[in-house]
Formats: sequence, structure tokens, C-alpha cells
Amino acid sequence: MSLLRTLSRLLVFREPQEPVSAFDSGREDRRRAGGVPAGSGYQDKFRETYRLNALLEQDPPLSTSLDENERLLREIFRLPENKDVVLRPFSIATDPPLRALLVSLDGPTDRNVQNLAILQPLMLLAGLRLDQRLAGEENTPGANGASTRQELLRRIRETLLPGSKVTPAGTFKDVISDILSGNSVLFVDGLDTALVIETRGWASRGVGTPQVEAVIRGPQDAFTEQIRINITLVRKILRRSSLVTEFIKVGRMGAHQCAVLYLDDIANPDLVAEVKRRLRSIQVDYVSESGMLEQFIEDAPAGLAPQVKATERPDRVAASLAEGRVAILLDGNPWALVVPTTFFSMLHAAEDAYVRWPFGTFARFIRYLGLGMALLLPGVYVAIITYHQEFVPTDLLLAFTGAREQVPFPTVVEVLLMEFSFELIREAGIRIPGTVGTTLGIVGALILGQAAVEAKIVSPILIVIVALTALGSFAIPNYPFSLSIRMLRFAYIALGSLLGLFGILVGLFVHLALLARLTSFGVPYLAPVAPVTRSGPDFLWRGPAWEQEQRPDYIDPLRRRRQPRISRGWVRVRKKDDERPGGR
Amino acid sequence: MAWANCTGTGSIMASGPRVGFNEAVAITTIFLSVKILISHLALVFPLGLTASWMLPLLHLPVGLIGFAILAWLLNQFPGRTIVEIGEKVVGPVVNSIFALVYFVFFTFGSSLTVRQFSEFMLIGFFPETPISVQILVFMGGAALMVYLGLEALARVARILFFFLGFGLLLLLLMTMNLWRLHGILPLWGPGVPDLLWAAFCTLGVGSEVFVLALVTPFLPRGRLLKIGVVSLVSAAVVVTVLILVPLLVFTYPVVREFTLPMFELTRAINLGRFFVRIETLFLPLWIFAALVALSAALYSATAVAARALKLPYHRPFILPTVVLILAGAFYPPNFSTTIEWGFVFLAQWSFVPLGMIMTVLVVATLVQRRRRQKKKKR
Repeated sequence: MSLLRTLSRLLVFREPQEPVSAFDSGREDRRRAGGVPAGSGYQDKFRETYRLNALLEQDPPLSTSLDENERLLREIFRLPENKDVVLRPFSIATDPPLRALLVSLDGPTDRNVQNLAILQPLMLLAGLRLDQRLAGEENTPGANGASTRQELLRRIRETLLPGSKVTPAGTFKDVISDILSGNSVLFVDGLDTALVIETRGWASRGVGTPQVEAVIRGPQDAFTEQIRINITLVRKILRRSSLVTEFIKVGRMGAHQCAVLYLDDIANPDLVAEVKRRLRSIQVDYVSESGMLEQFIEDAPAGLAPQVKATERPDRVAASLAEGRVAILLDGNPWALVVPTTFFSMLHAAEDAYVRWPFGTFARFIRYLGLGMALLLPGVYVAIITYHQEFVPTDLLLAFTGAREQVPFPTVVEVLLMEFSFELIREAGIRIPGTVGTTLGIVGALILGQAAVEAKIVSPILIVIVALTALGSFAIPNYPFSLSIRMLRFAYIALGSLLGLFGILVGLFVHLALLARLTSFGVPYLAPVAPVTRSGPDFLWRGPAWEQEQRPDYIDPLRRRRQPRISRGWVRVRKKDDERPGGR
Repeated sequence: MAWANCTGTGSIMASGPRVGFNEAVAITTIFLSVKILISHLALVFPLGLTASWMLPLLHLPVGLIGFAILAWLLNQFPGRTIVEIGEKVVGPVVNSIFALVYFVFFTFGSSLTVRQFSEFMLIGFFPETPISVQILVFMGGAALMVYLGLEALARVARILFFFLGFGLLLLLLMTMNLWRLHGILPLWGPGVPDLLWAAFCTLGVGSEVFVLALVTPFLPRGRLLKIGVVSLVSAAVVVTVLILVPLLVFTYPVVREFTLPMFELTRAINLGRFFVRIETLFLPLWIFAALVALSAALYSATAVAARALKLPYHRPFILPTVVLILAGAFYPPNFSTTIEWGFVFLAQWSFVPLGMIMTVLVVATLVQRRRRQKKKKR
């Protein structure tokens, strides 16, 4: 029979049956056309979700009835399906006892704090004798009822709860936001105000060393994923009462706390207002990473360079704040964004300030050289080999020609081949997990380079060019900036092969023009060189620490002077300097 | 710099371009001295002989006086360009003729400049590349810059000013071993009367300073005269030095034989066995200077058109003006004609119409002022 059935299956054509699935996603058109029967699970769920979202949008006030509050919370948190939310009903050990409900999220809440600072004092140690007025008339409507409820709330808050941070909340939106961020919320029967108790206990890693902006000399702290720890790290460096931290929630679906840090007595208020305006205006489901946030707030999304400085170092943030800039920290993210930024700050490293100024300046010039090589070297090589052979001294030209003699490709193909291979190795090196990635990358590059030379695919001189280009791009301290340079390099290779140095120079002119037009929060990207503005000796080169007298003018801080003209008081004391405004 | 105006991209655009003192000086100086890098010199040497280097110094006082008058005129009408002043002083009909003169000056001047630079690239560096491609690339770069606006142009000019200065200094230092001081003897060249006449005949070399009359509203208030004076003096120094050096290196009359004296100068550099034929090293000098000057000219031409037609933006005029410049660039039949026309148009005669217009505007302004004063007295 089975043989016959098999034969029948082979010989007789039957219409294929569509697979039956309970889930039919992405069929909005069918649903709109009435393809889904009314009353199906989808429509019910849709209506229910819509109702709850509308309810939350209305931001209803809490009810005095504990049961009503519990019912709404159960609906909003999708109980009993959702197992993360804990609703703990209990009685407060007063005389007479009061019904209460503690709501929290399982996971981000610190259970020890919850037990010792909320449940234990309320259930066991309360012993509070409520007078008749508080115990019996709490539901009384009107002015008298309200004052009674306030009194009861005050008594619970001040007498029964020993936690350091207990704040009242009157609406469901506030309550839900706090529950989701790891706090516990206490509802008491008869009260239309809940108490939010600080019990956050997210699992997080400790303060580590910087992974991208490592230094030899200087602090070894780096930001973590905890916004509070990050703010503490900044405050640890900048112990100043005028350091303000403002929180703005970004994201509609999963709101993330965004901290805006600035020195109130130095930062330009217009700049601070602009940062807050841009953050508040963001309409998005959620922003989980500072790189995403950066894209929402930068002036020119299609600009050739990043207009926001990202750093993982608290000391850099503190230094920027002291200059009058504004820092943005995103919860759950170990990178801070600093605005406004300029082209020159993209080539600054934290260590520049920590070593003596000649070495800081030297390191910066090495970086400028690296930038030039990373951007232009392959393009210039192609241009010179293709169009300007006369420029190469004869001996060197003979060496070049000898090396390229057996290579069948034109120079541009050779360069593109090696550049793309190198980019491939670099990208693959990052994606390979663990420390083996770097090793594999280097070994891959060496083997590939050597094999390519021996196979006469590329000339040995080109390996030198590609290696120098790579070193140059590694010398750029800002990773997003280095990415943009990596990409633009290919444009210069194309220009060099099409029009020689003429093409590269015209490209450079256009590149400069585009950078000159760029702004970061309104500040010209090439400031303080173009436009010329007053600035201390800390943009192109790094001047001595005692010469950093002025804050950058292009930020327009409230206080221009950073230190008196004679900051090394032991060198010479001149009364005239002390009398100057902003002097000693 | 005031940050308050810079809250967001929108407000920047609304506030209009702003050109600082240094940026304005950089644009004007480069625009004034760019002609020295091409074949202008080839026609200067026959006029001034061994004293050709004195010509810019003789032009300077006249230029300063001329600019002082122009600055006075512009200061009488704060916030207005020369085109708008013309409209107010002599009326729209006469002013349209004036605007046409400005437009032709900048447009045809650009045509001749871009053609000369492209011919130079063809001769010196890219013999295989068609001249049309070179002209198009030059004008493409300039058009993009003008599209990005005056602010971007001013900032780029400011940055490149350092590089150009460094390039010129390098050129001077590298040729120092070739200088022969007897190259400037006899000191007075053709004699004082002939030298003065040569200076008079080439008074148009400073006409490019007129660009300031079109960007006045965007310059720092009250600093127009200083910008003009600094630019004219800087340009005079640069041009003097760049006329002097070929004279010292090649000496007269050899220097008369070159079509591109500056190019020959870079070719003459010889510093041991390794550093020979390093003219390519100075390619940025020519290309950047040409691009800044062409952008300034193109911006000026489009700004004239926009102001004359009372349009708030210059961008719609970029493409038509570029087409006109390209047509003008291809018009001269050969390189030598281009050089000659360039010299006649830019160096010799440009000051006549521009000077006449300025005189008319100044006289009309004075007459109007006197009438107003008389009315007040009555």
C-alpha cells in the first residue's frame, strides 16, 4: 500500500496545501479589507491595547480605593500572564491595621532593601496607634477628607518608612515609570497617593578601565552602563555646586533616562536650552545607545564628520564641562556625548593634557600626520604613479618600477584590492569573538600581504603604503571620526586615479568647504581657525597648562577666563594682574 | 563670537552669512594676487623691464585712494551693496547698466582666469587630459563652493591662506641659491617716466578689490576700510615679491621668454640630486589659489545678479553664470590670445568702467546730500 501511495504521489498532481499557522503576520492589507473576521483574537487584542494606551495617555489619577488601583495595575501590566511584576498585598501593623499593596518588578528591585526597609517596618515594627480620625474617616470626600489623607500619608512616610528616598506619586504614569525603573511603590487603602521607595538594584558591571580611549598617564576610570555611577564619576572629578544634572526621558515605548550635565555658572544658557530642546523633541520608540541618540541631535546627519564627541572617560567629560560644554549621558550606556565639538577636538586625546606640553604638542602633530596619511596617502600614491612620475626622484622611481614590473594590474586596481582586503580584515577582526580576533587580523593581514606580493598581485611598495595608511587611521583618537576618514579615503583614490593630484586637490577643496559649512550645535566646525575666534593654546597644538587662561570663545561661555594671567603664583607676583577682572 | 545666534541650523541660515575680518582679508588678498601665478607676469616684464617689481608698489597708493573712496561710498549706505546703492542713487535704469558691467567684469574675468589655469595645467602637468575636462573640474569645484555659500568660501579661504603663504615662502627659500642680485639692475628699468606710464596702464590689477563692495553687509561693521587696506597692502607685497624672484633667478631679458614664469621658477629649483623637478610640490599653490579666486568671482557675479533682480538668494544664478563662464572660457582661440585678453581686460582696462561708475555714484551721492542739506535749511 505504501508503495502504491508513493507512486500515486509521484504521478498524480495535487494542489499544494498552504501551511496552517496561527500567526499570520504582516497582512495589514487583508485585515483592512476585512479579511480577519470580527471578534477574532487580533481585533480583541488590538482594541484592548488601544484602550490601555489611551488610558495611560490620559494619565489618570490614583484612586482612594486600593482594589481599584490594583485592578488597573493588573490590566496595565498584563497580569497574570506577565510574571515579572510582583503585587504583594499586606497589612500595615497599625492599630487598627491598614490594607496596603507593594508593587515592584522582579529583577531590577533590590529584595533586601524591599524586605528590610519596607515590609519589615510596615508589617512588624509599625505599632502606630492611629487616632479615630485617621483610621475611620480616610475615605471622607471633600476638604476634610483630603487633609486627613495627607496627614496619614505624612505619618507613614515620616514614621514608618526608613528608606533614604521616599517620594509621593499621584498618577498612574508616574507610578508605572518608577516601577519599571526598579523602584517599589506602596499603595495604601484609602489614599489616592502612592509612595515611591528607592529600591533600584540593577545588575551592572563595576567601573572598569577605558577600552577605546586608553592612556598611559592619567585616570583609568571609564563609564559603565549605570547612569548614576557615571554621574558620580563626573562629580568625583568636578566637585562643584553649580554642576547641574537634568534628566530628560527619551523614547516613547521604552523611555531611557538621559542626563544633561553642565556647569550652570559657565555653560551658555542658550546652548543648554538648545540641548534640552533637541532631546525633548525626539519622537522615537526607544534609543538604547548614545550612537543612536547622536543621530537624532546632530546638526547635519549627512555631514562628513561626527558633530558630537563621544567619550568613555569621565575626566574628558569633566574637562569639557569646565570649558563650558554640555555632556549628555544615556542610561545603560558607557559613552557620554559632549557638545558642541569641533574638528580639532576630534584629534585631541585625554593624555595631551597629562604629559608635559612639548610631548602633548608633538603627539598632536603626529596625529595630524596620521590623519593626512589615512585620508590621502593611497590616493596620492595612485596619482603620482599614474600622472606625476617626474615628481619621484629617479632612483626611487626605478625602485617603484622594478617592484611593479611583474604586477599585471594598473596601480588603482592594485590599491583598491589591498585597501578593500585590509578593510575586510579589519571588519572581520572586530567581528571574531575574543582576543583571537586581533591576532587573527594581524596574522591574516601579514599572510595575505606576503602571499599577494609573492603571487605578483601587488607590489611590495603598496604593502608599505597600505600599512602606513592603516597606522595613520589608528592614530586618530576619535573612533567615529576615523570611520569617516576610512570611507573618504576611497573617494580620494578615485579622484587620484581619474585626475591625478589635480583631482585630489579639488576634492580636498570641496571637502574643506563641506567641513567649513558644518556646525555642531550652531558652532562652526572649523572654529577657532575658520572663523577666527579667540581661544587658548589648545586646538592645533597643546600649550602649557599654565597658559590655558581662556575658555574657547566659540562656545561663548558665561565666564571667559579660566585662570589668571599669572597662574603660577610662585614665578612672579604682580599686583596689577590681581586687580584685573577675573584675576587672582 | 556670539554663540547666541547659533542655536541650531535654522537660525544660522536665518541670520545670514557672516564674514570675519581675517576671512575677508584672505579672500580679497588671494583674489587680488592670483593673476601673478599665471601668465600675467609674461606681459608685465616687457613693460617694467628690470623694475617690474616696482609696479605693484606704484599701484598701491592709487589703489588705497580708490578704495578709500569706495569705502566712503559704501559707508554712506550701511547694510547695502554697491548694486543697491546704485539703485538708490542713480535709479534702476542706469543702475541696471552698472550691474551689467559688474557682472561682465566678474564673469568674463573668470572665463579668462579659468582658461589660463587650465592651459597651464595642460602644459605643465596633464598633457593628456582634455582642457574641457580641466575647465569643468575647476568650475565644478567653484560652483559647489558658491552653492555652499559665502561663509564657507570665506572660511576655506582663511584656512588656505596659511597653506598658500607657506607654499610661497617655500618657493622663495628653495630658489634662494639661484638669486642673482644684478637681475634688478638697472634699478629704474625703462626709466621713471616709462615706469610710471606702465604703472598707469596696468592700474586695473587692483579691480578685484571690488568684491568687497558686494559683501559689505556681511562684514564686521566699521572695518571695511581696514579690510581693504590690509588686503591691498598684503597683495602688493605678495605680487612684488613674486615679480622680484623670477627677475633675480632668471634675470632680464631671459625672464621675458617664459609664458609661465612662476612655473619655470618651480622647475628651476635644484637642491641636490634628490630634489629635482619638484614643481608638482607647488601644484596646491596654483589649484587652491585658482579655486578660491574663481569661487570669489563666481559668487560676486551671482550676487550682482541676485541683488540687481532683488532676489534674496544667489543660488539660482550659479548654473547660468557657470554656463556663461564656460562659454567665455572656450571663446579665445588659443593660449596666447587668452593671456593677451586677460591682461587687457583685467589688468589694463577694467579700472576704466569701474572707476567711471564709482565716480558717477560718488558725485550723485554728494549731489543728493547737498540737496537734502538745502532742503533741511529751508
